[in-house]
Amino acid sequence: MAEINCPLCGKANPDDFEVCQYCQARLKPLLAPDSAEENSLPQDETGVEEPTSPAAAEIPEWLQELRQDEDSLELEPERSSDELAADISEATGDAGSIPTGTPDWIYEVEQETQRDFDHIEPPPPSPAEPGPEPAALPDWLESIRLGLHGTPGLASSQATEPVESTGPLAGLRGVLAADALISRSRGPATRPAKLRVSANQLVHIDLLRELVESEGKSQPLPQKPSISSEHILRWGIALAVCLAVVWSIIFPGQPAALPAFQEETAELNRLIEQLPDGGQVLVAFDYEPGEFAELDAAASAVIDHLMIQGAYLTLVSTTPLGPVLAERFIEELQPVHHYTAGVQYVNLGYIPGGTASLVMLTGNMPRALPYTIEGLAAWGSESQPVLPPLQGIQNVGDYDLVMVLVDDPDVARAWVEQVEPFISSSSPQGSLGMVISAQLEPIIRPYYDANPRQVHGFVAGLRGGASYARLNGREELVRSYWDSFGVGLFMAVLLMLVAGLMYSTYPLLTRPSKSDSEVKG
Amino acid sequence: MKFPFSVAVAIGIGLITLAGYFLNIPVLQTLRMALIEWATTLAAVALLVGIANLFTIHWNKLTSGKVGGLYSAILIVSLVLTLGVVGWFGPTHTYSKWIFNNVQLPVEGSLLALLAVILVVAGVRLLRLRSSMLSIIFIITAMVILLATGPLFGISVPGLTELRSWIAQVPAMAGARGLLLGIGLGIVAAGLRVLIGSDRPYRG
Repeated sequence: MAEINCPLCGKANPDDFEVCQYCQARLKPLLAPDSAEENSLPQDETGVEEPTSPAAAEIPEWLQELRQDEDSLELEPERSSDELAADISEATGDAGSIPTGTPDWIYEVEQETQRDFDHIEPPPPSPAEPGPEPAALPDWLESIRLGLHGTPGLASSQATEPVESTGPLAGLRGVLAADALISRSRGPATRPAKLRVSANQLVHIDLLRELVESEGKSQPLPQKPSISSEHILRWGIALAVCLAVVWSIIFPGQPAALPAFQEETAELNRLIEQLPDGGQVLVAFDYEPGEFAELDAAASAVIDHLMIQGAYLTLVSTTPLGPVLAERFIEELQPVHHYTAGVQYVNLGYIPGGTASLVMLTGNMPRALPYTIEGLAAWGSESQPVLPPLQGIQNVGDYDLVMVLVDDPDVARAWVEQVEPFISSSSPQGSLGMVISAQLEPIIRPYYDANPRQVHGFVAGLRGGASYARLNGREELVRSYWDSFGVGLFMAVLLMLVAGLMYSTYPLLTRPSKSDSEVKG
Repeated sequence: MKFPFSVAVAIGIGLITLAGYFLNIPVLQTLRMALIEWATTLAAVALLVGIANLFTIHWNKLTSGKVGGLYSAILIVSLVLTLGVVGWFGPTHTYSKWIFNNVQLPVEGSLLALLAVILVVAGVRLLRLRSSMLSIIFIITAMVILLATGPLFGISVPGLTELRSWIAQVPAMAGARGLLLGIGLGIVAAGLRVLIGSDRPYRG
């Protein structure tokens, strides 16, 4: 068997080995020298014989065929991209498919252009017409051509490169194929489409996908328990308060003492005591029906005192339901005092316009409130004299006392600021007294403490009403609610106290001890 | 700047009414009272318009078959019934008083009575949800006021009544005075805005 020496380590190997059995270096080149070229050019112009490969004679047939094909391709003239595309289409058998690497829009343009050219018949060739005369090459080009062919190194290195067959560079090797390479369109370099994603990112992707998908879906609301601890707490507190109040009503024990009167209560009592016999009092019922329990209870002793004094009452209201409340209030006291509408009192009804209309009381009252709630002409007519409570009254300044029963701070303020200055300026005896809800006490007290006073006396809430009744010796008017009121308040305070102690000590009891936390730590 | 006629009317009437308070000029006084009478008349008409609007809204709700139509039906029946009874017999008739004493008063009184229970629940829950120093002070103050307001059934707590009076007359009144000052300044500012046309609440 013939041997071949390794070009790297120099050791002998059998000639059928592709790589060296010692250093794995390639023994045979991948591209063998062109045999045709070698055959055609056994000796160059310089007389130096090209070295021939010893294995050239033993090249397999398939490889020789491939090399012949390459030679034939190299010898062919450069072809256009259309021709190459046509060849590819023929080879793949898919004439309509888009060549690889060509963008769609370029391919469509090319197809349309090709169709346009297909309609145009080529002109018949004119054999008699001679072709262009070959141009005379310049000397420098001729010298390059001669020089290239005369250089042995270049000739050997360019043996595999194609030879230019046409044009002024005909016969030169290694000429750049302008038509084939420049006009051939290339698509963008393809990048690997697969992203490298970490496991953590995959988790986040799944979460985001779930979020987006869940956006469009209706989620069922969490079912609340029909009876929760909050419900039990509320019902328990309500039950405790209500039971305590009802118990005190059903089983009354030792009656609780009424509270001592305050200065403002005593001042109001003094004002009523000083009313002249048959004095005229304007009473405004400016509270809502929801507040009737507190205001009626607080005002009962005061109105009772007015009736004891024999005062003529004029009832008005700036709320739509006030006149009905006033009627009801007078009826409650009817069994004791027998006040008659149109005789001892007159109900002039509702003053529209809210607090803005209070100014009208300072102007012409007969014009502002001409009729009673029953529809009678309050200020007299041809067939009827002026009603006794309104005799000599033209405006609010003519009353001996103005008493306002009110639960709204804005309304109370309007009475003080809009009406009281007129009362004080009209008559030195004129006064403004109030029976107010307990929540209004901080609002009204500054007007009472002012100098001069803008409110001359007031009763605040149930406590004020009870103290007024005690002051006036009419305890039976308030006894029905005073004990129950006290029991309810006491139960409320007890509940808050127990809850406060429980919630303040519970975290201390449930807090883990120091030894436990150290063991866990 | 666009200066419509309505703005001029509003500013003019506002200035006349305001001047009537300060200047003792008979013409101004007469004008002021006349304008206020108009305002009260318009307010009375507005009340009727409000009732008509309420009726229309609930009638539409009832006829369109929306949810809550039953409540609208109850409201309309109650409104028509009360209007008919009071309009026909008068507001002081026994029937009218019966409706007021047995429907209106119990309903509104019951709603307000719930407030007492709700406030007790809120007081109980306050320390559980927010047990801060301010919450404790608030609860203690409320308990002192409540205890000193009602009877103590023979229990004598010295100084409790005096403490309640001090709370009501010093800290509470200080806050109330500040509130009143704020309200006064706010009203002046609002009035001036209307008078100079900067605020136009009458614009539709």
